[in-house]
Amino acid sequence: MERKSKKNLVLLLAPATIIYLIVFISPFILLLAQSFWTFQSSYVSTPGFSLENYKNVLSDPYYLGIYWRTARLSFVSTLITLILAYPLARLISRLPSGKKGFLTTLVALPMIGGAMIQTMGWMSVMMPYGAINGILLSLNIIDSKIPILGTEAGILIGLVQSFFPLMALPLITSLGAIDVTLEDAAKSLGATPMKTFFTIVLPLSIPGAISGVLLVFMANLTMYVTPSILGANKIQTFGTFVYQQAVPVGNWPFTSAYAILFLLMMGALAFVSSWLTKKIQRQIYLGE
Amino acid sequence: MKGKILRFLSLAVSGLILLYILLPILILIANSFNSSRFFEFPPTGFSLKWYQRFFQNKEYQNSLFVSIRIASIAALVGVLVGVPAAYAIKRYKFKGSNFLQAVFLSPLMIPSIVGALGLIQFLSMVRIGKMTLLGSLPGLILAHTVIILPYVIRMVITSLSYMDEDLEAAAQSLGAKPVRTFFEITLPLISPGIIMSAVFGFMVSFTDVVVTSFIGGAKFVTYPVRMYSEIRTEGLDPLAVAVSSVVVISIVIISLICEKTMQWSRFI
Repeated sequence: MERKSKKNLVLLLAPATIIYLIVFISPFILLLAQSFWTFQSSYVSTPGFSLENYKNVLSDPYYLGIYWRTARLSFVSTLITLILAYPLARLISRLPSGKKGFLTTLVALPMIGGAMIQTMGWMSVMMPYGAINGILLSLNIIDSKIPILGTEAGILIGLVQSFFPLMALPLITSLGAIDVTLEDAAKSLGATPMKTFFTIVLPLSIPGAISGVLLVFMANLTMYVTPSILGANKIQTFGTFVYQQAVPVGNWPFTSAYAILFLLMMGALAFVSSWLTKKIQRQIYLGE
Repeated sequence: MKGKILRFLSLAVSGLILLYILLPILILIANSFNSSRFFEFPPTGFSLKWYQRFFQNKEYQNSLFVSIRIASIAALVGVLVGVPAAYAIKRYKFKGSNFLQAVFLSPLMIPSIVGALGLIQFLSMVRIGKMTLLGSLPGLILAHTVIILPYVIRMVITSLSYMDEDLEAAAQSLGAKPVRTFFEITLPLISPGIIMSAVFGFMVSFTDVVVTSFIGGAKFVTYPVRMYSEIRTEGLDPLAVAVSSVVVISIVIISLICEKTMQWSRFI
């Protein structure tokens, strides 16, 4: 590369690199360091190298239980999201581009509108006098009001809706990329719609489904607004617990260790799933 | 006949799923016209009084103003910093460009709550004079810029790859300098992508609760953080519902305009 264009390259990249170094990379290194420090009092800790924080997390069933509840809720919510998003994405992916864009925008709204607004809507639906209880009572499905706020079911209803776009958008893309003539060919050779779906559409949409599942699962793991409000402060998840320990309590060394362990588990999971994805894709495309 | 029934069933199921996705927004808007203080279902009467109160309420207006100010500055900085970076990564073939792209996009992989936990510790240590950056406007804007940047960089990279690179080569072979080529050829062609990334970045910043509630402190209470802390302490307030309806209706309108004019669903 000539010298002048090298200078240009540095000029183009410098501002972004500096901002990332200051606001993203340094805080992350500090987080890692802090996890080995010792807690003094709120917001104050002494530097050093101690594994005490990690031992604390790993030896207490309460802390481990929060990891477990978070993983369990995320798993269930991801599964429901996949089941609901697939048929809708399949329908949208086949529409002419104008309608497709319009419906894709509607589906993306929970993401664009932000978690807070969605959660406010859900809260009014789930309140004791809200729509869910009102409808169930008038249909005589229940005899008396049931609590929804503060239950895991309430959190799940909100979670699935909040992260729905992260599943639907990659699915719409990968289902839309399937060549229609492939399906027509299968049908003209006498395959039933069911068989065409299972031998052509489903296998070809697996990459989109996997990327959706990963995005939704990761987003669920770090949920914060939804469990905090729809859980009515009764149900702790990773996100709400980290906030409580970091801001009101101010025990940064412990919270850092708690977060680092969580990241390690997420990383391991991402590693295993990307290995699995490659294996599945090889099976689909090469028949190995 | 069987095909028709199946088609009807699949439309009905899809419609129900779509209704579920849009339910909180629809209910929120419906509730903002409810005359009662409580969120009874079915609603008891129609009224515009919560909207009238919003126009008299200085606190809500202030927090909306704080949010708009932070989101505008962050989106502007995000575009000024993100567009050159995306252009460098996409157009200059240099060693480590893939690695750098991965670094620039990595905040999308790292949960924002973990990022916020690092930031609260880091900003509390950076001092300018007597003040720490924690709870200051520059600190907040820097943090929001980093939330926005990965989206801006990703969207601009996408629109650069939709663009025909030969046009740049043609301009340069006719003697245009790289800077001129960028401003006269590249920039006009990718401007929809840039505008969209700014709008999207604005919304990401505007709706953020996690990072702001960690590092915003008491001085800069943005609108969603104000909603969040109010709901946690006092429950749902009809006035807050009316304000949020105004916000969500604006967001829906902006999204539909972006889709109509620039097909932004290709980018998100």
